[in-house]
Amino acid sequence: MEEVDKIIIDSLKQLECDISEDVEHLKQFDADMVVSAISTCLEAVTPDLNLPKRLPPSMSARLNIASDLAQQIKSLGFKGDMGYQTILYCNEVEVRRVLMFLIERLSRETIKTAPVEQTGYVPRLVKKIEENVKKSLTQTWIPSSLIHYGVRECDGGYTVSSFGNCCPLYTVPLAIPDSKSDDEVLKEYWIHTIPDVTKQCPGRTLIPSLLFKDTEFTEKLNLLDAIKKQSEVVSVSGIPNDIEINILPQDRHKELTEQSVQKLPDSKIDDLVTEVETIKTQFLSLQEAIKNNELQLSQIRNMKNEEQEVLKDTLSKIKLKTKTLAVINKEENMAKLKNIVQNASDRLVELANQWNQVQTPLLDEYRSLQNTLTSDEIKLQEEQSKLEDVKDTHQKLIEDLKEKSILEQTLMQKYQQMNRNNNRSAYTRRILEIIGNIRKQNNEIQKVLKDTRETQKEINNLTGQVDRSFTLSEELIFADAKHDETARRAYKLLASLRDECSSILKAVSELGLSERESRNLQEQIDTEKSKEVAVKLNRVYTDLEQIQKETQVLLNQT
Amino acid sequence: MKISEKWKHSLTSSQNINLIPDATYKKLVENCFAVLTGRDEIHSMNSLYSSKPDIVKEFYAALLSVSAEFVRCNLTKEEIAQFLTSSCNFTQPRTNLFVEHIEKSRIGIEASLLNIGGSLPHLTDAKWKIDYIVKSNVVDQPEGPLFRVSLITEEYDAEAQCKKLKNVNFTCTSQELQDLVYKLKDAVRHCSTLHNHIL
Repeated sequence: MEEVDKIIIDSLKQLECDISEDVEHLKQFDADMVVSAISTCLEAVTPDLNLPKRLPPSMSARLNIASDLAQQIKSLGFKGDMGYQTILYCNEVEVRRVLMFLIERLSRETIKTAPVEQTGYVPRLVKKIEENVKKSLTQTWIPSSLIHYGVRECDGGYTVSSFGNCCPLYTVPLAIPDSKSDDEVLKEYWIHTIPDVTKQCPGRTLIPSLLFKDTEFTEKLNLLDAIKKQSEVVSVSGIPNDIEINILPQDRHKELTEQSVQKLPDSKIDDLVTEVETIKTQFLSLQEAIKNNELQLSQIRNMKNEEQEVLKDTLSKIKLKTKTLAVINKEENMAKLKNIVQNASDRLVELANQWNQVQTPLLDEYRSLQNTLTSDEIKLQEEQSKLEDVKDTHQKLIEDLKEKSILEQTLMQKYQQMNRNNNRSAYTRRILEIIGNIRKQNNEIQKVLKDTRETQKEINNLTGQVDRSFTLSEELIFADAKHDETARRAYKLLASLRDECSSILKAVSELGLSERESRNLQEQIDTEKSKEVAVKLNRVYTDLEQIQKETQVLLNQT
Repeated sequence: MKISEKWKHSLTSSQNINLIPDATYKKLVENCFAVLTGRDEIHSMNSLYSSKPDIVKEFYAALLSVSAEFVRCNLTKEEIAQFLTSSCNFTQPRTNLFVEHIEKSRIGIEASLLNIGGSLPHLTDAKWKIDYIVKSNVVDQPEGPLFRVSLITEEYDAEAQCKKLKNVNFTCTSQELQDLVYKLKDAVRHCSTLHNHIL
């Protein structure tokens, strides 16, 4: 039973049921633990359930929860005796049976879901195809005129039952407004005359026309070239006819003009022509002269303007100079002017000195500030470079994190798979151990059987020997008894001895039987003792009293 | 997935509420999915034009082709929402409305897409009769009965723009008919093995 207990506790621990490390046998389970174990198992078997993991202090609530759990287990198909008493007043054997049943259910569920996890594009596609085929095979037949577009919807997906309504791929060039364009005329056209895209083509060709553009040529130049080439090829055969037609009218025209000219006398014409020529040349030369003269005139006008401006300047200068001369000619004015000049120059020197005084500290300050500024800038640059470094490292860390998280997920998946494998290997190891134990026990049983057989044989031998020795001695004594009185007495004694011996043998065998019986009874007593009926009865009494108290309290409240 | 820059531009530029108000947008989306699933437009387009018919027309065309492209590429809800908000500046309510509609009519659009392309006519029924030749003026007359079979098929008719029934007629001798039946049985056996393999 130890192996079974270990397997049960191990599976419960895998279900994240809080069982402390030192619990190794189901004997150590109390009612609370039993409830938590059963409710976690039930939740794992039917994921929609939400069951309490702990027993409440109130007795009636306890009873309710326990009977609920018992009902759930019964609905799962548990065949044994199951009620609130199994959970509340737990018996090791019964609890073991219930938990074994639940865990068996559990493993079946997990095995069912395990092989579904398939990854990769192709397996998923195959799975999808299989599902679709399954769906379409399970569906009932419907006349195809009832099916829109040959597609039937069924629980979340659809199955294709016919392609009878397939429209061949045929596209139509669609005219669609373009808000990027600035062409006013086009805009007018778009606003007033262009129909919707849905009305530009029949309904079935709309989607292909929107999706595919096989009627639009992206390289328009090539298209034009192609058309031109084609037209050239076509016109080669037609060229000779065209030429003849073109030449004929020209010839006729020439002939006509020549004929009309020949009608006039030659000399007159020559004179007139020369006259016209001379007049023409004269006219041309005169026109050129006019042009030249106009150019000259404009140049001269420009020169005149310039000269006039120069004249104005010189006149104003002359005026100034005459005025100053008039002022300077007087002595006082001269002295005054000199004074003023002297004062001004003095003042200039003073101002220069003052400026120097003011300027030097400011300059110093400026320089120092500039120095600090440059140092600050350097610092700033350093900081910036640091910041960039930090950003880079941040980016790298984020990338690392992503990679790591992906790795973590894959590892988690692997781990789960490994876990399952481990579990299986542990189970197989345990099963092998159990098988080994059973084999050992079997061997021992065989040994014991052999022993019993041997003893049986011995007993048989001995009884046979006894019988034989009796018959031998009987014959011997019976032969003597005819002649001898003592022998007769001895024969009688022998007969009595035989009776005694047989009664002793009977007694011995009876003793063995009664011993066996007593052993059986002892075992029965032990099992009855293990049920601890008295303790349980006590507990039931106390619980009953509690419930009575609670009901009393409730009654008082009402 | 290839969605041209032109459509993206059209969708982005129409996000201005003055050009296309929310009510118009909703009606346009409803019309779009009605057309894509092969039904008639729910709202009259003339009532939706307002002051800028060219913008509405452009947006409508863009909406239609982008929706068809989404379903053609089998994009998930999240991918569509991501595309609309990031590449086309859709607001959250508009994106939600679009995604809701596309999820509702996804199967319908897939059906419309499935029905583009050539295919063999779909067999729906068969009519037959057996003729016996009692007397003939031809010497080398085949023995036995003659089977006249007419397969009734459905095929798309380009002129009427809907599917139409078409008869495929042929006559065969019993041997030829047996040949055909064997081939059909072979196909059925193949299907059933496939079925068993899956189940």
